[in-house]
Amino acid sequence: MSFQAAGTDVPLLEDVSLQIQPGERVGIISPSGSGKTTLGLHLAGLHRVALLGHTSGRFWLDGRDCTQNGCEGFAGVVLQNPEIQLFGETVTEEISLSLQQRTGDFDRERELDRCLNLFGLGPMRDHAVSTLSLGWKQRLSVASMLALDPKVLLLDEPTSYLDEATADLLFDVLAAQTEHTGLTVLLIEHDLPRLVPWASRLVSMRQGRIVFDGSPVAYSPPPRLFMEPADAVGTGRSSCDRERVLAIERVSFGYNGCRAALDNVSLSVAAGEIVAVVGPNGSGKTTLLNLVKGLLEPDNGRIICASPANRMDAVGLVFQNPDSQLFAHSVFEECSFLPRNQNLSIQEVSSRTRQALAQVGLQSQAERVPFSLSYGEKRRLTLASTLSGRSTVLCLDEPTVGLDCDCFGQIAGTLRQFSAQGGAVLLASHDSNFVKAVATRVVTLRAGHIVDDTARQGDIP
Amino acid sequence: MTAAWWTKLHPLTRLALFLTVCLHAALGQEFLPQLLLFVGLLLLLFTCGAAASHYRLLIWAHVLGLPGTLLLFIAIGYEHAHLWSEALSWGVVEGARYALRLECLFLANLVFISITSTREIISLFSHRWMPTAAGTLLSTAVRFVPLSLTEARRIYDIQRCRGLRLRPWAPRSWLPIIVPLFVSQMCRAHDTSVMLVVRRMAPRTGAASPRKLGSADWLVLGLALAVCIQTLL
Repeated sequence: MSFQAAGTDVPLLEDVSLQIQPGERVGIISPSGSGKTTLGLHLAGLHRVALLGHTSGRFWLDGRDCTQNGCEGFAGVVLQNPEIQLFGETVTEEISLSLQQRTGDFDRERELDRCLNLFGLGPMRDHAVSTLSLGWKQRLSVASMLALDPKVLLLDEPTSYLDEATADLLFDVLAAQTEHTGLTVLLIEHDLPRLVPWASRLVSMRQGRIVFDGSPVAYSPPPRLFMEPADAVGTGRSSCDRERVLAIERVSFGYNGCRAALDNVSLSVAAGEIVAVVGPNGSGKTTLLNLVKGLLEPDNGRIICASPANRMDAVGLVFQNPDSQLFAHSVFEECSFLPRNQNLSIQEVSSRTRQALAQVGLQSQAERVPFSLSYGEKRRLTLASTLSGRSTVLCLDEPTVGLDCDCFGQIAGTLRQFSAQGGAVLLASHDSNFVKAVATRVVTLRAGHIVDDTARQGDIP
Repeated sequence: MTAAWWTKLHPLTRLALFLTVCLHAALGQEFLPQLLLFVGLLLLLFTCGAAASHYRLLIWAHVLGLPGTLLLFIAIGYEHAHLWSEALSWGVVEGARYALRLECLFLANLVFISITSTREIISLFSHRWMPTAAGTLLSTAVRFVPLSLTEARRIYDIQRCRGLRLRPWAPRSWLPIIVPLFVSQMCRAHDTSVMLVVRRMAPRTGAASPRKLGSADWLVLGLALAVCIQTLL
């Protein structure tokens, strides 16, 4: 089977041959833009609804030829962003909605309880969906998809917004479902260490072709570029000797006067440090970054930045989704937006922009339209467009979501370079591999409190 | 706890009531019924547990809209009479009448959104007589509005971090919000419509039959029709 998107010459899928048996746990891996989502949508029978282009060759789902007709309703699908997948007002209503659409005889109340308890949603059954954190919303979206009782479940990077414990729980639940109900699971994922022991079969893709299809044990992954020690590039001084660039003093914050998202948090960050803030979903990581940037104001306590510039200028914040910020007609224009707004001279804007683009390896793409970049390149562009400003503190929210190993390496290298030049980095991440590779210090947040603050090997004062 | 009375009405009945109120607010000539309608809608908004953002919207609409409307009518009055005293007396009365009309339309909209969930609105478009593509499009559009507001706020925060300063008189300064909003909402609309199909909520993809109209619904629909005819005549 091959697929070519409308208006393009390069096929997104080329000569793909695959046979999947009921009850298989298939992990699909590939670098960004290699066609794994396109393949997944075909396997879910949604290519006619979700893709614009031409599918050639033949493929069958459940014994039916679906090449030209599609097969909507054949598979359940869980996407990366849970926000768009939920339609109910409360947790119970969300699952009930799926049960309403389900055919066959079953005990509705029992099924509702079973689906709620799969992901520990029982105590939250009356909660409004809008009040749940992204991690809980993702649990709910998987539970409501399982409530439809599909034969096949496709999950496209479902752990992007999940903490370690929840991601483990998701993998356990999916494994149990395949054993007990014969569900076939297709899982598109970058998290290889978690995927390999879980999958019964691994499919690796590159440039639209399947380059590996077999047992996960037989798969040898490409080397991870960023896996050098975190202290390999550093100032060579302990954090005690370094200048303090950011101080968070007894900060508390609650949304709309409700439960405190952060409670009495104190943290000091020195120049040259890369501090990773880790913790489960809803522990307050993103809130902390927004407070440091100045998007939110603390209810109590204060945040002091050593830079003479105001906090909005001194702190750079890189968000997760690049499509939420790209607007200019060229990569250069996009990257120079921040320094232009900081009223720097034209020469300085130009030199800072070129320097930032070089730091992330996009100097040769300066004249391209940002929307034509790949996802990984867009992520690097958003990083460059923050680096081009006068920031001395760089905050990043989940910098590795949706990125492949090559992009990991480039982003890790850029952060090390920034810290080596005297900047401080504060990043919130669920990705333990990335944290191990870049962080010189790990701060653990739990329910709005700092429960652990550890300098990593080679950087202990 | 007993369910609110409006939850017993079919979403279609609620939509019909909403349209009737809109029609009456737009075309009704009598001041007193308009005033009563306004008070009734205001009370309903307070009792139906509308979101705080709806109240904020209401207050801003008053603060920004009312003085502007009155000034506009006073100016029109001056154009006709060339006397400030007459312009003032005519402009205030007519302006208030016009503002009341707008307020009723605005309040009716807020009440309808507050008492009808997105899922119920979606279910309205899942009928046999609705073409599949049109049903999916309308369902996506309904979902689009509340999500767009949240997304616009998020994009504004992101661009604020990049030094954006919005100037209402300079449309160019709005581009960093409008372009990403358009792009992300196009992607979101696509993903939402796919999810509607996957969740079997798009027309003709589900097994559940739509809710039937009850006797109370028929009664209210009849009354609404009578009010519409009376207003039009």
